[in-house]
Amino acid sequence: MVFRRDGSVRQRQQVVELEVGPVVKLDGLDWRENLFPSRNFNVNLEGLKTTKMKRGVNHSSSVEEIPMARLDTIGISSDSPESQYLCGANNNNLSRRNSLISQHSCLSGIESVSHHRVPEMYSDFEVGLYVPNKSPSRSNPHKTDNNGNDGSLSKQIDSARRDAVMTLSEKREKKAEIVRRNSERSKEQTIGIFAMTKYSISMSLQKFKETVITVAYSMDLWYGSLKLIEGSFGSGVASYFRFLRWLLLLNLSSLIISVSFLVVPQTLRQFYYNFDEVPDVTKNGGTYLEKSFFDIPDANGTVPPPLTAASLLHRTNPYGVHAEFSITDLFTGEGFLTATTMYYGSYGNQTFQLFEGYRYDLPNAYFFSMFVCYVVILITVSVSMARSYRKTYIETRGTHKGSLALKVFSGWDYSVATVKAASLNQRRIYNEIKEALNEEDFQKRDTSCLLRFTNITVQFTLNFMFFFLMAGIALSMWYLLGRHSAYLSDSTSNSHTMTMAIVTSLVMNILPIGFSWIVRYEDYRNPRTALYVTLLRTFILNIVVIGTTATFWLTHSDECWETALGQEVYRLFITDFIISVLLMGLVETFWSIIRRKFSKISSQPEFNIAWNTLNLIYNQTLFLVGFYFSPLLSVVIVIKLFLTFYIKKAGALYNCQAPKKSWRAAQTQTIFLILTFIALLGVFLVFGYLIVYVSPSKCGPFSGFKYMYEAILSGIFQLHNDNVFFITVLFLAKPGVIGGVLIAMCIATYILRAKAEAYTIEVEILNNMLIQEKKDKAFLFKHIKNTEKASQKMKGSPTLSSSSSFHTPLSARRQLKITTRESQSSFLSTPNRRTHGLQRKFNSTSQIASRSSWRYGRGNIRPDLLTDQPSTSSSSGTSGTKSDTSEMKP
Amino acid sequence: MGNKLVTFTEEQLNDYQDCTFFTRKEILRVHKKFRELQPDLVPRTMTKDDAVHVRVARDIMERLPELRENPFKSRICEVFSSDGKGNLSFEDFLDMLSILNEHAPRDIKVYYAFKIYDFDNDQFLGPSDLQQTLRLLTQSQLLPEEMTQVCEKVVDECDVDADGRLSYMEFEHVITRAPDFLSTFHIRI
Repeated sequence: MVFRRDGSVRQRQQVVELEVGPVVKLDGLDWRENLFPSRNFNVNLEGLKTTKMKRGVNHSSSVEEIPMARLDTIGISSDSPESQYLCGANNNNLSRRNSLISQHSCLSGIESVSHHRVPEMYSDFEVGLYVPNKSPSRSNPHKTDNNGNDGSLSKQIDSARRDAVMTLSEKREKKAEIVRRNSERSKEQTIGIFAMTKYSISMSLQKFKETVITVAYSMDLWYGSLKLIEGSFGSGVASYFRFLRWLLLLNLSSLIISVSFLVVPQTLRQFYYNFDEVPDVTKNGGTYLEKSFFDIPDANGTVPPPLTAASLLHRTNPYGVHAEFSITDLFTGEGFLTATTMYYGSYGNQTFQLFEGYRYDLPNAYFFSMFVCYVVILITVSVSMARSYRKTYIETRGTHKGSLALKVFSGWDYSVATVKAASLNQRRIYNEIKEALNEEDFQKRDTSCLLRFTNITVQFTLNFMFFFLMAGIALSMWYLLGRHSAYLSDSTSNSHTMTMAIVTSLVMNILPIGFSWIVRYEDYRNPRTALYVTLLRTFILNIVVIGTTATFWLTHSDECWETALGQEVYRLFITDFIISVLLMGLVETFWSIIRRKFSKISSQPEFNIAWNTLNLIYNQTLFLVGFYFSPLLSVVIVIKLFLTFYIKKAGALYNCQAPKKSWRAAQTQTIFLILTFIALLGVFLVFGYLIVYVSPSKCGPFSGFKYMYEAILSGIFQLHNDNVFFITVLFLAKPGVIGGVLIAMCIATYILRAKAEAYTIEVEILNNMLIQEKKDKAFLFKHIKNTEKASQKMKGSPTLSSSSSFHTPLSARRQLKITTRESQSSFLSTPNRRTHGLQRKFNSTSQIASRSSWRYGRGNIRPDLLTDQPSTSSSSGTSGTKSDTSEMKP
Repeated sequence: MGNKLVTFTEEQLNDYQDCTFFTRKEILRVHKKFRELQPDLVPRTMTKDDAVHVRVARDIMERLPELRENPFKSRICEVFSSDGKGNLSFEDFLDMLSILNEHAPRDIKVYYAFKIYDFDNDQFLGPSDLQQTLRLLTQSQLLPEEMTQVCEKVVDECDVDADGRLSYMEFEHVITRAPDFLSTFHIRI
């Protein structure tokens, strides 16, 4: 990276030197200075990555081919002077050229600026890009002339352009040729040992990646189902199911880790060791009991007999209650389940021997497995969030969102495959286009002061009521939890166990409907805003529910509050499944049956993507909170998601129809990922607090320690107070140091943000320049036409029809320009028009003049040549030109 | 693998894997799909020549479930066919699905999208191309004046050089920033 940066900086100087002629000042700055500082290396690298053909066309020649492909997609024409000097300057340094060029393309507007700057250049560019394709490249594949690095670069670029858009057959030919060429070359020259290892490493990495991808694809879960859903509902609804699948796979990783490192060892231990013997907490004071199953006999000199299944069913749970298994336990999560490996409380704090000679430290294992699970989840969520955010917000920045062009060009959902969905899709596009046509009047609707005031008042009141409601829900949940906790300590009745969970789940299902209902009265101007407000409210509701549960149990240090929290989460989980998946599914089905029977119009409901996805996020947050206290919750969530997929799929296919409005799947998906990430961060904060400030109860792997972090530090790192590392950690944890780090981070963020804002402004300026140029060009074309007319009059014999200038083929347009120039020169009263030297001289001067005027872009348009010329010669165009020039001047 | 009937040679498979965005398994799946269209014409084993020379006619190609409801189906076939008439050989077919695969990068998708919308092959999206696109998109529901209005607006939004039509650069400029382009320009095989 550093190398590139250096290289590119040097290049920039070269560029400026090379382009001595017209260096344009934009608001007092060299415009090149404006262009190049805005390079974004990440974007560049990304760009390179995407252009590189997946499983590259050629591993062997990757050094050479990728830059060319990159060139192609940037669209720099070999004919444009831009690429001539870019490439010419770096003939021998491909990677540097590459970096420069990708910089060149990094800003959205810039490409266009560079290509549209000068009309001549523009047309050249078009010729360069399209002429090879006009003679259809498919029918006569160009035999590439690969002369190596020293060959003419423009030819290479030409061939590279064809690379990206070649047909498969051509690609295969090209591949064969490259392989042949490379084998020849390798005979001639030997590669250094360093390069050799480098290539072999990168090749084996590539191969490994391929294998991984192949394996991943071959295990593509629910491929057919997703295809079916996509076909009948489009990609919007499918995005929900894809999100579900993503969560399932994510949780599967936690399941594998937690089961293999926690549940299995603990179960083995229970089988081999007498479970009822509660370790003496007072004796162990900070160290672990060394016990093993095989080699350490007990006091009588006999190895304890392994437990039988029958004795397992009749053992004592931490509350001292003998529990027998009953069906209701599956719903309450209590009773028999309390003492199983389901919950935190049943994991011991011993180190034991699973196999001869191998100690297994359960508290360490517990902490580390959980840590790895959470970190895996964090990394996955943040990476996908960042990627999705970049795709939908950064790469697509600068578009007007309601653009009609987008509706036309990316309106059709290519994945749709059923007749019904297709006709709905067509109707949707029709409606959207109609709406967009009418929108202009709509946007300019009168917003009187009174109306706005009432609007704001309504919004304010409703938001206030919303927060009031949230507080009420939190309080009532607290009350219910307190009652349940009181019952629990009495251990007399379990009848109220489910109350909290059922009430909460009902609230969770009913309130969002209310939210989407009240948002209509708030009259948000943009429907997107309304959707986001509803989403945010539902999300806050989720957070309130989960936060209250977690806070209650964290502050009520019960006998074994970790298990109790785990059970609470389990109950919420189960009731949510029953109510929002099963019950709602049944209600929907019932409703649609009634509709089908009694109403003539077959209008089925649409699949509510937003609500369903938020439900998934709620589930995931719940899982993240509960997982630490209940390792087997990962199994529950995986089963739950699995069943949810099938139930929802059946419900959707049976009850719903394709959405009538377009669902911006990409953007909304990013929002969902961001919400998941926020929830995850919240969970991390809670756990940080838990580890440092909350003392663990007398059950579970961390019993006997005052705080969890002590167990982690002393047990895992084998550290004590006098250890250097420990002292360093303590020093780093001091408020002053953390504060310093935070301040530094704030400053860094501020700088980056300021930079980003500057770039935004820059892009805006460039965009304005573009628009200005567009106007300029139209203006110039008009003049050229006028001149043309005048020249015809002068000559008396028309050579080209002036009206055709816009829609004539390019060659004709170029011809036209040349003629125009000639005619212009005639106006400049060049005595002999046929004098070629003079002619060329004139052309070049006028080109330079025009180029500089284009770059100024603010109305200084060749006053000597164009503005005055027609006004003296042609009578028809005079009035128009006058008014135009006055418009152009700022 | 030896007991199976060999559809492609190892070299062919390697080539396809390198030149498309598919894995081996997917390539075989594509072949199965291709064969299902016209089982009597397409052989089970594809030697090198068959993959290039055996073509499935356009009207049969349009019966592919993934294409059947697509308003641009005949245009898609035309763009990807190597004979220019819409008849697809296996390699063309593979190429088409590879471009429409979700793993294909944006740039290439944009290029082919442009080709698809460029009905008259003049390398520009002129008013006639736009009208044709709209006609197919809305099944001619729009009134003629509405159609011209939409075309004018689209051109107005995207046209940088004020020539009344969209060049590839202009199209790319707009479409690369369409947030949903990637998710909609995609066929799951």
